[in-house]
Amino acid sequence: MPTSSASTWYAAAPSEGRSERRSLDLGLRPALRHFTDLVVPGVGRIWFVRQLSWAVAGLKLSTEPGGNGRRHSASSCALGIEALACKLAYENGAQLGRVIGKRAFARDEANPETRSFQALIRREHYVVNSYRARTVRALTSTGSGGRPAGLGLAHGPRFSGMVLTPAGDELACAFLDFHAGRSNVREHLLRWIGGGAIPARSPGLCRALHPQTPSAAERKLVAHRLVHVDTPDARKRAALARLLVRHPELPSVSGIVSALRRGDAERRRHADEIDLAFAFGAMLEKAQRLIGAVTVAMERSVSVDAAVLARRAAVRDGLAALRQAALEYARLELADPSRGHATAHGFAQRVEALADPGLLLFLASRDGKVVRRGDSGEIARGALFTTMPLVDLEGEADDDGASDPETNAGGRQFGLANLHALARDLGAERLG
Amino acid sequence: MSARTLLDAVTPPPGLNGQVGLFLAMSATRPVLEQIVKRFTGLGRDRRAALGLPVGYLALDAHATEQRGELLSPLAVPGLLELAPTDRARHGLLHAKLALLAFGRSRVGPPAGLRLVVTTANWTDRSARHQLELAWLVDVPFGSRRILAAADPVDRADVAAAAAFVRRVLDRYDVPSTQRDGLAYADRLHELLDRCAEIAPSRGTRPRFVHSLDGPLLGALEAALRGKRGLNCVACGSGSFEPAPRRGRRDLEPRVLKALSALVPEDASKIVTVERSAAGALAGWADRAGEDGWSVREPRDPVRRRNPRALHAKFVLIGHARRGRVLRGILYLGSGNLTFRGFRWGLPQHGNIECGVILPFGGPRRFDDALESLYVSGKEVSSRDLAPDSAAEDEPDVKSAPLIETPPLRGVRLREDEVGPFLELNWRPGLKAGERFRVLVGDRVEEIEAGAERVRLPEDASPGVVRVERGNGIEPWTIAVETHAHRVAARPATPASFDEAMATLLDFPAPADDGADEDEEADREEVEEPDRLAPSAPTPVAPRALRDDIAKYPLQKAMEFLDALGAHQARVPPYLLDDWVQHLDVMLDSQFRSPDLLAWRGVGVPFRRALLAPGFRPLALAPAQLRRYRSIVERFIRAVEEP
Repeated sequence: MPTSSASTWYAAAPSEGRSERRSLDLGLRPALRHFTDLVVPGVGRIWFVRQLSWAVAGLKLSTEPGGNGRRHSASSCALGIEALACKLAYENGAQLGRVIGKRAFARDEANPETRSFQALIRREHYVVNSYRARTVRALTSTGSGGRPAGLGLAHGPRFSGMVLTPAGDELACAFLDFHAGRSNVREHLLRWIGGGAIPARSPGLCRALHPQTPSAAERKLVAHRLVHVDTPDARKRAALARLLVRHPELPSVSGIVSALRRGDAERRRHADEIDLAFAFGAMLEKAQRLIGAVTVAMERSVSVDAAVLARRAAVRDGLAALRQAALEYARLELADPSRGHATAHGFAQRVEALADPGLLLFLASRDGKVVRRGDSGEIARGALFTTMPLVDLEGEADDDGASDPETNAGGRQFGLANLHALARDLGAERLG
Repeated sequence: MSARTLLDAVTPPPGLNGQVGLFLAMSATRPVLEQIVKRFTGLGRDRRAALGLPVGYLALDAHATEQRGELLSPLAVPGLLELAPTDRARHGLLHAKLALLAFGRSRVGPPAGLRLVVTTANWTDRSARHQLELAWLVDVPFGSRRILAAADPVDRADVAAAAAFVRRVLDRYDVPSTQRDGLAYADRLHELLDRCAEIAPSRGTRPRFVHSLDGPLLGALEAALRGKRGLNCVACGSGSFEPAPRRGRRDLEPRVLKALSALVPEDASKIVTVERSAAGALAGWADRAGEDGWSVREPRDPVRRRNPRALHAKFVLIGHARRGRVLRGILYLGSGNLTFRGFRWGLPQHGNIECGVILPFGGPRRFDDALESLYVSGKEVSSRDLAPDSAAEDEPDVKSAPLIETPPLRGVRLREDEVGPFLELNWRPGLKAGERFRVLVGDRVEEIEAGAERVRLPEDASPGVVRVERGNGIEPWTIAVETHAHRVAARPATPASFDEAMATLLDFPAPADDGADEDEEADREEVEEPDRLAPSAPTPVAPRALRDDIAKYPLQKAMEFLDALGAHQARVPPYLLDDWVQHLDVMLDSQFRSPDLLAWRGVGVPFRRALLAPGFRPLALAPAQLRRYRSIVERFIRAVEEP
């Protein structure tokens, strides 16, 4: 006997996830990655110690059967540990600076079920953008695709398939063997992952997991991987970290560069690289601001002739600023072209070579989303058009997930803000 | 109202995995396609790239636009292959939006269910996040005759009718098959369509699915209303309307609306919902719409009050309402805008290729609730509020538009003969004789003429893709390479150590949360993957630590290999054996490559005997699975033994 129809229709809610608008990168993302690696190699988007501890602990626990005899994937374990750390910190109400997921935790306050492992690894009970997802680059021990290696805590390109190196294993053990009450962290977590309960109000466990309280052993191990390894990348990081850790606030780029210039040849070369990276950043930012000015000029029109747009005062100023930035980038790149990036080089050349309307059309073609090159050679609204007087470089934050000092610092920092925060978390005495 | 999103339409039913899907639309964008494939398969992009199994096929409108001039690279959304249009696709705009999906307990075994999704949305960020859209879906269980008999015959008819429609649309695209063309990358698509066709019920069951290949959607609506009485209400909406007439009176009832008016009595209540910025002919007419019995309303976004989404949904509700309730009626929703090309003309009359569903609209149901679920607000708008523009992007005129560029190669297969590996090239017909191309494999460049049959590769090469450029160095295309295992564009990671190779080999099954969180990092960082293939890019140096690890303790590593593999295989549940054999095929080959296994040669490890022993190999292998398992083992033995 046939059942009744299994069909259904619905009015679709807007999808979650990253907006396409965030990629207002004008095709320069490879260059952006190149310069970030040039300034602060191998750190990725790590900015405090526990990000690494949670990740390696997840990798470690994924190889050990939980309380119910089942194993869970490394990404589940790491995500679960991180979410539990944040949830306990939220519930204990102290030091909430690095705690994410507060919106979901507030929503779930009346529901104790949401403290289970199975619940906390779900995005509706924590966040969409976790800290875990930002650790891959820093964990790796080998470079790939021309990018430098990370801190060498794990082998493998994909988080779930990673295998801890001895250094990674040591860090995992330092975190997991820490005692919190009668059991150590490992026992608490294995019980919890296996379906057991977790003490809700245990200050000891909260501290043992908390994003802001890494143990001395964890700090020492991470500091070692960051600065005490004898590779050119580690020497770069060491010089920068030792410089940055002395400052409670991120010093200015010019301050960093002039301090490095007082050092040996390797430091002076690093200073040149930072200058070049920030010149590239300025060029990109000016291009984005120019698109912002174009969108404001197009507020009441679907499409506008590029020559007409180029005569508007704000657009004209934007064009001049972009040309100036491109010239500066080209000047610095000329000193040592091997440090530059082909994509950035080509972009700067086009900026210099094109006349105003042509340059606007070039930018519209490179973007294509907010503004695009129209079929008849005019500048038209793109699918994601919106007026952007000040271009939001990263787009709107769409949940209370992980952000980092880099994002909050305003403007591109090429990893310096993250390294500054990480160095402060490690402490000056461990970087010495 | 449900809070389901467009992406939820591809989420597998509980306990099942997405196996293979076909996605049809006018346009699509990479981030949304990535989210769709990730949601559908539950696999992150790295894992899909490593496996190289085609999990989705994409057919978009064939005409070039400013936003889209070429096919999606096979690296852009791993596992998703865009079908290349042929010249037959020149006629008419592909505006239909649907997905046909197969789900199963395993990823490569027989499906347990089929799904048809019909939406008003393209697979774009704009549709998914910034526009008001509707979606309809139906799930049909797949399996034995008994299982099929339990399914609703109309549901089955819908899936079969949609598959027949898709086949006719795909006649306009290049969809090769192993038997006909020696290219296997679309075989899973053929299987999907065959399965959908198999479930067609006996004749006489009328599907709700309609399309415009033979005639206009308006005709289908008229046919669905035939014999229905007491119809006294219409509510419709569209992202685009017919353009305002160039000459003559602009305040006359738009002709598509007039055609809808003709379906109901004169005194019926009629509501049309219009986006202010794309009102077309409604702009000039709105002020006197009341005289024609229409109320012109603006849409309402039930989720976003600030910065509301724009109406893109296309729908027509016609029913019998009484005392504020709809008692019976029909609802059309689908791709066809209320324009000439979208609704009033079929493809033979030079309209678009459209599809939709005409559903019974059962009641009793509050009329206001029905309107709310169709985004209809209570707020009337006048001509002053409306712009006479039409949303040209939603329904571009493609009469004189060129087709998008297609690569000169239809496909490339990795083959091997006694000399070594080579690429077998399958050229698209119609290329100029003697035209020269450059084929880039990693950092090697080969100059060839159109029609060349093969490109020789260095020993042990196994590229996932090749790039092809015209002689002038512009227009590079990325072409997926098919290998012996019928895997396409596979890019498994190179192991840096023995432990890493084993971890990748035994990383099965993929964790259930893989697609949700596994490689957000990769998502952000690997968009520009083709850059790595440029000849100027540094050649990735494969670490030789695996070889060194094995060379240091060959016997110990061999025992570790056999112990771990045997223990892992013993735990694979029978329903995942198809997937395991597929995984083993790809990963054994990629993680333990011949040059790394030098140290195992001649040390007397009985690999063949061990790997084929009944107690070692997975239990309960079906004959076909066993044959494939044997061939994988034999290939591995050759890699170990052959100099």
